This record gives sequence, structure tokens and C-alpha cells, in this order.
Amino acid sequence: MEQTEFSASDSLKTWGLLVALLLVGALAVALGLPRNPALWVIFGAAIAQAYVIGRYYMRLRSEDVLIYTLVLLPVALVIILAFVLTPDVAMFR
Amino acid sequence: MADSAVEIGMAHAPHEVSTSFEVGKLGMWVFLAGETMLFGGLMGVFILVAISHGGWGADGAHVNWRLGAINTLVLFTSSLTAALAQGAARVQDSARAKRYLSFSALLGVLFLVIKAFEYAGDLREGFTPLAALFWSFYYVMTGLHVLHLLAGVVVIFGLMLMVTPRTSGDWLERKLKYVCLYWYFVETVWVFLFALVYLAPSAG
Repeated sequence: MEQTEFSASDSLKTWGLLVALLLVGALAVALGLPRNPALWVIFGAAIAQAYVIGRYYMRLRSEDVLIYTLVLLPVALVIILAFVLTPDVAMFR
Repeated sequence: MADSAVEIGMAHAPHEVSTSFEVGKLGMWVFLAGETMLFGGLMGVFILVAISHGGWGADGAHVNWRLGAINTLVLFTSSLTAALAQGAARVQDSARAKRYLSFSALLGVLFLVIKAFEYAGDLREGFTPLAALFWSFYYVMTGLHVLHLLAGVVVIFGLMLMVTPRTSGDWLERKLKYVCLYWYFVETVWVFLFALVYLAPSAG
């Protein structure tokens, strides 16, 4: 698969976006937002950061279905693991 | 380099439509898939245990999230220089690629120094791996990440040693693709560790 061209200016923009998202997550804690909204902001920012890294640095936007499968399969397995363990957690509580 | 440039596919059946993949890239993605399960499993259990305990309470509040934020910035910048190194290799400028790569490695070392400083502070305050369940998770997950980052720094330094003024830009570009994929993965793992272990326990 051909690499999509990615210029120095694109790299700088990606870095700026990541830093902005880092500030969003950190401000949610620094400003003392209530716990639940803060958690939404923190994990929302983390998922957005992972998306930006995957799409622009790891070039997932130009990869084919095999690579996407390799990325999504372990994520799906981890989610299944979490569901499988959930009854134990509920019992523990 | 022949080994990493080899493409697998239907090379001996010219009439069939074939999809070909770089063996090296495919191998790296398979490796990263395994690593995703390792870190994903740990993080999943961390979340479930946190839910079952109703959060981490006072233990989680002792984590120094400001140092974690500085380290996140350091890793973001190291990835920026890695991306710039890839760009330089693409235009056959090996010397500039090596210079950018050295920044990535040095920023990786800076991350490790800050983390060591942070560990020392935690241990001095009595937050050892056995102090509480939160700290056990904290040391296992961040320690495992530190080992991965250390491996990345060693590989980057090794690659830098192999680059000479006569190094072909194509060769370097290919090697950088694999090394940078790993580096970006380590960065992505840190993004989630920072949210889970540093920010979430300090929130509210």
C-alpha cells in the first residue's frame, strides 16, 4: 500500500491537535470539574488523541482491510474480556 | 533491504488479482495486535476493579498528574520528530532524518528520566507496589510501558548507528516505517495510561 504523503506542516498540525487535546483532559482535572463530566472529557480526549495518532502518524487512513482487522480484533477481544468479567465484578460489589 | 521489501501475494499466478503486503509491516502490525491485547487486558481489569471498589479513593489522588502531563507532551514531541524523520527519509535526506531521529531518542530518554524521578518520589512517600491495589496496578502498567519505551529508545539509537552519509533513503524510509509504527503505538498506550492512571483518579 502506498504511503499517503504527509508533510512537515501536517506533522506540526497533528502535534498541535494532540497538545490541544492534552490540555482539554488536563484542564478537566485542574478546573475541578465534577467527577462524571470530567471522566467523559478525559476519556473523550484520550480516544480522540488515539484516533489522531492512528490516522495521521500510523497512516491508518491509507491502510487496507487486513491491517484494520489486525487493529480491531484485539480491541474487540479486550471488550469481550471485560464483558465476561463483569458478572464477577457485580458479584464482588 | 530484500528481507523487509519482500511482498507476499500471488506472484506465481499472474492472471489472478492479488493483494500484496510488505512482510515487515505486516509482522509489525501482528506484533502490535499482541501488544494491544496485553495492555488492553491490563487496562480492562484495572477499570473493572476500580468499578468494583467504587473508584480508587485517596490512593489515586496521590498520583502526580502534572508530571504525567509533562511526560505526555514529551512523547507527543518525540513522535513529531519521528514523523519529521520519516519525511526527511522520504526525500532521501538521511542526515536530516538521523538528526530528527536523535531528537526522538533523546526525548524518549527524557521521558524515562522524568518517570524515574516520579517513581522515586512515590516510593519516598511510601507508595510501594504493595502499598495498595491501585499502586500494584500503577507500577505494573507504567513499568511495562517504561520497558516498551526503553526498547524503542534502544532500537532508535541502534538505527541511528546504522545510518551513514551513504545510507540509501529508501532503506532508511522502510526501517523508519517499522520503528516509528512501534514508537507511535507506545505513545498511544501512554495516552490511555495517562487518562486511566493519572487523570481519572484525580478527577472530581
